[in-house]
Amino acid sequence: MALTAFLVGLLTLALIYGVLALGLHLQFGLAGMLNFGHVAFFAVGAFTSALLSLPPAGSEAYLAIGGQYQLGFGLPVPLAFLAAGLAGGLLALLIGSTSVRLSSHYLAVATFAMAEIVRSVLTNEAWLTRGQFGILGVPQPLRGEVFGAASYPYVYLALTVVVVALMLALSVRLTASPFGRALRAVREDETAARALGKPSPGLKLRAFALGGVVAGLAGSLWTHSLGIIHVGQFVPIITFQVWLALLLGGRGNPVGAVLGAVVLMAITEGTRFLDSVPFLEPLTRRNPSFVPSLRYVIIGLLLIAVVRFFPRGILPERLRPPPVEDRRGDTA
Amino acid sequence: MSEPLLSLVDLARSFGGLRAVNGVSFDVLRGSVTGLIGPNGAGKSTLFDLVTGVTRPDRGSVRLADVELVGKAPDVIARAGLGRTFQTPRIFPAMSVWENLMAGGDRHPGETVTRSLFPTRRSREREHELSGRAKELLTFLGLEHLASGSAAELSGGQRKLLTLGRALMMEPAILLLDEPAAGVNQTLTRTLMDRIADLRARGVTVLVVEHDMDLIMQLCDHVVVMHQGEVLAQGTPGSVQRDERVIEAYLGGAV
Amino acid sequence: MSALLQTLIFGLATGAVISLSAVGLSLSYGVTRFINFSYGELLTLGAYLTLVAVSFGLSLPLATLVGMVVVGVVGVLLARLFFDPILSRGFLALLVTSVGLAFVLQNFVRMSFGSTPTRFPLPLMRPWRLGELIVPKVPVLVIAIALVTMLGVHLLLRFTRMGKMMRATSDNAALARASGIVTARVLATTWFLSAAIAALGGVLLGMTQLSLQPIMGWSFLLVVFAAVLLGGIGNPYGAMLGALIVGLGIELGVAYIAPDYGYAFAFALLVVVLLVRPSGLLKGTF
Repeated sequence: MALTAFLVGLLTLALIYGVLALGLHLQFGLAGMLNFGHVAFFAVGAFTSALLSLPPAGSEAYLAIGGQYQLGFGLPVPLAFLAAGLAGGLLALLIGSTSVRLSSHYLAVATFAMAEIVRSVLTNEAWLTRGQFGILGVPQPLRGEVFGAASYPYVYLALTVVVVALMLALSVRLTASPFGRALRAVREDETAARALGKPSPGLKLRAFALGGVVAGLAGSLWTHSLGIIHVGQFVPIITFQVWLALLLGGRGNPVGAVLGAVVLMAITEGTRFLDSVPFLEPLTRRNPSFVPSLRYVIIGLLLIAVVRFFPRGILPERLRPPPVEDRRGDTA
Repeated sequence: MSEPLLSLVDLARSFGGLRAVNGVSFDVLRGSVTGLIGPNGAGKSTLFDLVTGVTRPDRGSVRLADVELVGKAPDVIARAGLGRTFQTPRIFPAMSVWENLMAGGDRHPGETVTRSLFPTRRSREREHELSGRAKELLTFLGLEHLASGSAAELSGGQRKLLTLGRALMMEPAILLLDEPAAGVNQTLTRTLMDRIADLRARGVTVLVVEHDMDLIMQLCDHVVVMHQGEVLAQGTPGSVQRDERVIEAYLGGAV
Repeated sequence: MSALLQTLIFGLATGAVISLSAVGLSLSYGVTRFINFSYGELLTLGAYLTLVAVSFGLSLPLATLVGMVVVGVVGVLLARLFFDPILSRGFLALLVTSVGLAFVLQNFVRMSFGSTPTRFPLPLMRPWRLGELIVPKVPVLVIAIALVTMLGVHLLLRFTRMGKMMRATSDNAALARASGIVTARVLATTWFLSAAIAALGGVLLGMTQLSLQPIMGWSFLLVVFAAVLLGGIGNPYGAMLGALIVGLGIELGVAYIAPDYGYAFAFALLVVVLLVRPSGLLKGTF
């Protein structure tokens, strides 16, 4: 029973990473933008969702969770979820509008730097985020009144699956649409695309903002699944785990993004069992960071290996043929 | 077929101390095929970049009908009706041949986020329209059998045809062709020439940079010769061919 | 007065470390033309290897030298193994590989030494007394070592044959390759030098911070990027100028705007540089 709950929780986490990867797919897979600051949209979405849904100061619920965080708005979780997407999108719009014209490696450094600034702000503005202490008691939708603790992981998994399916459907549609096609043209060769009249800065900015929205929604999903939020959860390595998921799954393919996240989660969780490997035991006993660090070494090696030996990823990008003769009108 | 569609007036651009283009002025008449020739290093590619907005000129003006192009972004210029191809064909390698063509269609109301998710009637119609034109172009270029495949798998000559077709999807008022026949075999050059002649018949104005003299002489109504960043001579193909200054420029430098 | 002097000296010491590290990064950028996210880990490695050498009984100066040589060699090996094979693959491949390498190196250090900070093995040094003023020795030493090393780099680049070849490579890699100047030796020397300087930077960083942590290089990386990009990417002299401005920016920001933000001021400067003038203040050649 405990094992299935564990696996369910793991799958939920993998799917949430899948949503994150979908956001990055819109920015990189579709628009070719090297975003090294993706975790910032995730963080902002998570905090927005938490902040808006935590019980307001003075209420019963507030006192029930310890009466520490005073800025809660007490809004229903679905509303907070949408607001998280909006927050992620707005941050992406802000960051994107300044960087959209930068060439690739400058864009990578700029987005990385801006994400670190966001993290700095979230850490230092303790009045907003409770800084090093974190916030407990982030509301978990449908828990308590409707579903008890035992069945909750399955409920949350179901919620997550619904969100993933929706995001995936939207991404697939976007990718195949004229907008997606114009973006891919810009990604392939910006000069040629502009010579065909594609307004590349505007197109890229929109894709970037959309990616931020999706990442923000992922943040909301994540914090409500845990019930706890803490700025230390949003470290740069998350950005690169999402990159690995995307590259592994197939960068030009939205389904690949989700698949890559699931595969990556399977790999990294597989390393959890290194704890019990006999000859590593003395090392892990002496140094508690041993296995977690080993896991990150593996992620680093995977990043290097995938980029060098497996750049296409698992699922290739779809080549779209001309539509069939006898279909009328519905080629949009 | 008499008034100028594209007017270049006193265009100039220097890089460091080098005057790549030094006061170039000429007109391209509506409905004509105009050739731009000159030895290597004459400044032809730079001139193309100046006209298409890739590089900003130091001085001068470019007018398309009565619209000033200097200072505008390349995509704005393209939407004003100016299409171009590149010397090395810039295909979109990860996309199919079909999508390469479809990506060429501009002024598509469907190219927004909302209309991608919730298409309007107008965007559906435009997509249908472009679809029809793309199919027609596939036939025009002889590429139908390759439509579903990746553009990356096309040969050099086929890529040239594809990028020509893609530029035509925009239905440009004027098409700038940058060495369309370079590196292309005889048969394909023949095909290209026929296609360009067809374009003229359809009323598309063409400005073509070329080294292949046969192509220039057979296709062009008017030829402009550049040398060392300036216009050396211009006129009918015959007159230019006989012009002494032109002969000397070509003998003096490499073609 | 003494307090102000102390702040100034410590600020200058940090600036000196940024400066030296930035010079090292500029050297390797000249050859590879991409921004190497694993550079910070060479600082970390340098500091920790020196720690290990000291634990074997070597004096600090000698241990530092050993650390520099070892990390220098490691730098060459890493470049040959991981970057050379993919130089033609484009920015994504290079950037992602450098990030992956950073994770590998940093966590290798963490696996070997643990996450908790380690005290840097500095011998106790009494500060100088100049009349009323108390001048701490360590930061002055850091500044001096950094300056001497940068002077050495300058002399190398200006007056030695190898230095001239390195400059030619940075100026125009394609031309240098075509004319046969760029041999494997020039590339290896550049990598070695860049990594060895980074190692020294790590030791100096440890001296100014008085402690080592596996994350030290990674945290410092963006600050070094800021200096390099501000000064003009690929130009070591620009890097020195950039470091000065960045160091000053951090001190001013911490003193007058918000004390908690520290390095974030450097990040903000970096963003501003990238948006306003990505080519930096000086031209990107030696």
